[in-house]
Amino acid sequence: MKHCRLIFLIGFVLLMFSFSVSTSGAQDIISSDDYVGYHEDDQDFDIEETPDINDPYESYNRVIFKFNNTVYHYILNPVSQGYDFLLPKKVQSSIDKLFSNAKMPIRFFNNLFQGKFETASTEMGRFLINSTIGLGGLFDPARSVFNLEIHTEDFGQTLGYHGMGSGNYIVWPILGPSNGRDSIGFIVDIAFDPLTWLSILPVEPDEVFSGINGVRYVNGYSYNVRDNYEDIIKLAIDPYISMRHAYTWSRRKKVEE
Amino acid sequence: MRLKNQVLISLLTILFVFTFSSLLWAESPGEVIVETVNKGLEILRDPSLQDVGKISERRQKMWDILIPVFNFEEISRRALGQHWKNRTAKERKEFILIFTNNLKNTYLYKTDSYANEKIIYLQENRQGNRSKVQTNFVTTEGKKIAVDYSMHRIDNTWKVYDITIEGVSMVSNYRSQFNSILHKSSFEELIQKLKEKEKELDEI
Repeated sequence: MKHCRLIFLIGFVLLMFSFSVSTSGAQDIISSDDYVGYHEDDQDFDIEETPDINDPYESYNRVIFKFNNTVYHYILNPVSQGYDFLLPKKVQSSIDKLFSNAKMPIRFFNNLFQGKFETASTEMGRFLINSTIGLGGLFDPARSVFNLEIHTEDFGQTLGYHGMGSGNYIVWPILGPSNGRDSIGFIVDIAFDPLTWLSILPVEPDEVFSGINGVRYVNGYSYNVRDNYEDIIKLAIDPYISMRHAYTWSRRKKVEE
Repeated sequence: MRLKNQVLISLLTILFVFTFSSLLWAESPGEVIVETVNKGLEILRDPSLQDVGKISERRQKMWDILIPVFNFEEISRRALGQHWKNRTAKERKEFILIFTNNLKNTYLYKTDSYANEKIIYLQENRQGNRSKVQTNFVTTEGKKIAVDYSMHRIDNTWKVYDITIEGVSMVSNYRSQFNSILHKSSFEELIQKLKEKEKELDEI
């Protein structure tokens, strides 16, 4: 627990540092993804306005990216493959739903913060249905029976919704790709995460919290991340750039929604 | 004279019937996508092609379905972006060839694990000779992935020139990689890198 706090503290300091630097001298280090259209009608129709991605720490980020790769390759992937062997994807899907249900407050509050009252109440409704007849969230009858779709929102999206730019691209050790805005979002969302509340309760021993967190991490990685991540590493010509582009654009889409 | 006229009229009729029927038969962009994806999934489900030894045969069948629907020249041109115009005809040809091969190996490898997936057509947004077809790709576990196909019309057939998965455009993802590589090194080195990648892809 002490280590956790220390890591967050260090992360936060680095983050502040990244912002102070980014405002001063980032302009000259911009990756040029610009594209010159050749058909006149291109510009109106395609989403070709590839925005510049600020990546002034590219050389540091690449080192961390490589480090993460090594950790994933030698530690996390073997663990995750063992996990796959133990639990079929169907069970992983249920566990994923369970944790997703528990994280409802993050979605609920961030929907509220963006003035999306209807989807916030949908989230509340989904939580009530799935926590009861969905057996605590193992199943998703809210979607399959009541047609209530999930509305994922996090604090990074909330900041983006209110006009904050994404800031500099950052690759965090272990946690992976992020940017200035989403890193703040990540830290703020910890406050809305019921697992954090659980860890603060004096009755629960720390081991329980770490255990649950460990399962959440490994399950999330095995079920949602590993295959996509491996694809980029295996298939891209420059995996670092491919990942940076994919992260930036998928986050952009989520903020726009 | 009469004979000439008859020949002319019948020729015109044939021409008319052909053009008209081709107009009638021309599929909408959405139909092209749904049909192609379903044909592809059929091949992946085909019990006679499930054997491990049949993988290369299966991939070839998939590829035969995809070739007429994709415009690889346009994909290559867009992926190279601003760097396209400074390339000679020969360099462009080489690039198209090697990049197409790269895409072939990449995406056929990805389809190996598909079988029980589904495509849901959502809507299409057409403007003249361009269209964006929005679909959801539903995985075996029921996860919905937003997949958009950017298409344009050439000779009355609709062809794909980009695929956007959850907001990430395949072409612009490659473009950002090529830009970064060409920023630091030459076109020849890019071709070299693509060739190396191809070798790697052959092995997986």
